[in-house]
Amino acid sequence: MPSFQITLTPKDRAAGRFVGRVKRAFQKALDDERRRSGLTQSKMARSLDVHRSVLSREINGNRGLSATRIGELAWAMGLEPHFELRKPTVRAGQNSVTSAPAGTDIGTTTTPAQSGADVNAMLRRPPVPVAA
Amino acid sequence: MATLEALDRVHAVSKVDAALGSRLEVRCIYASPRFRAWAETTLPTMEAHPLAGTTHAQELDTLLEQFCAGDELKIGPRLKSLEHKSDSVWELKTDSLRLFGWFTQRDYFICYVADDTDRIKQYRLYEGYITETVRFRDQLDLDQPKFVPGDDPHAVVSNYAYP
Repeated sequence: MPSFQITLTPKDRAAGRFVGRVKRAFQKALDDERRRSGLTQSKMARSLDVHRSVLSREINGNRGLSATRIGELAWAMGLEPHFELRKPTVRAGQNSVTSAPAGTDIGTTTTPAQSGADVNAMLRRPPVPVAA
Repeated sequence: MATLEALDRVHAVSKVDAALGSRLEVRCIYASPRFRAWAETTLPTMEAHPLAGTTHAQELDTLLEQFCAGDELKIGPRLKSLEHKSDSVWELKTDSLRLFGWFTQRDYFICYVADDTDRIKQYRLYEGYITETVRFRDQLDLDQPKFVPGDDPHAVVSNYAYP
């Protein structure tokens, strides 16, 4: 019996994994800010004027997040979301280029894949203004 | 007695392809026939919560990617994605799904059964699933030692963190 994959369209797989990375970025950022400044979900919920359970579902659960909401959550953490679009990485000999839409040149690159490994890059602290 | 690879060849388990693309496989998951049948027939029909951003299948796919690519797993009192239950049976978790299985060695997980989190809680299926997992493990013709004993996360996975 050959190995098997979860049946998903390439579009749904890409979207689901992106959502997963966004959630993990928020979870990691909240952990970091908790240690750094004592930020808690309760404090965040108060600043966003929502119940803590709603916030928990957004960050830890599978409640959907709009781009607007991502901006609001990042603001409540004192962070800026960093958004970037780039070509997927393809390793030599890899046989998954069919996952890209027809007509898309996905190229070959040696840059790290956008993955769970770089969720830190999704949320950053805003730069500190320099006094004039 | 047989290796996992040999059991895969006789259909006793199936290796899960996590569709990692350019990412390297660091951990691996083998599926029981029951888990595979569920993933192929039941999972695609499961309806997500109206406010959910992703389907159950997308959640599972993301978990498989995270696990197999060796991403950091959360273990502990909050936000955990891996938890020891009992009898060296471990639970991999998404928000909507629970996967029950065991580790044959570090980073090698055999998943026996999975189900919707709300359904498991509503019908109190935890103990039953753990018992059935142990029974499957006992009956599987796998080389000894069949499983990593105990509840030490360090013994079963690399790259984990206590949130």
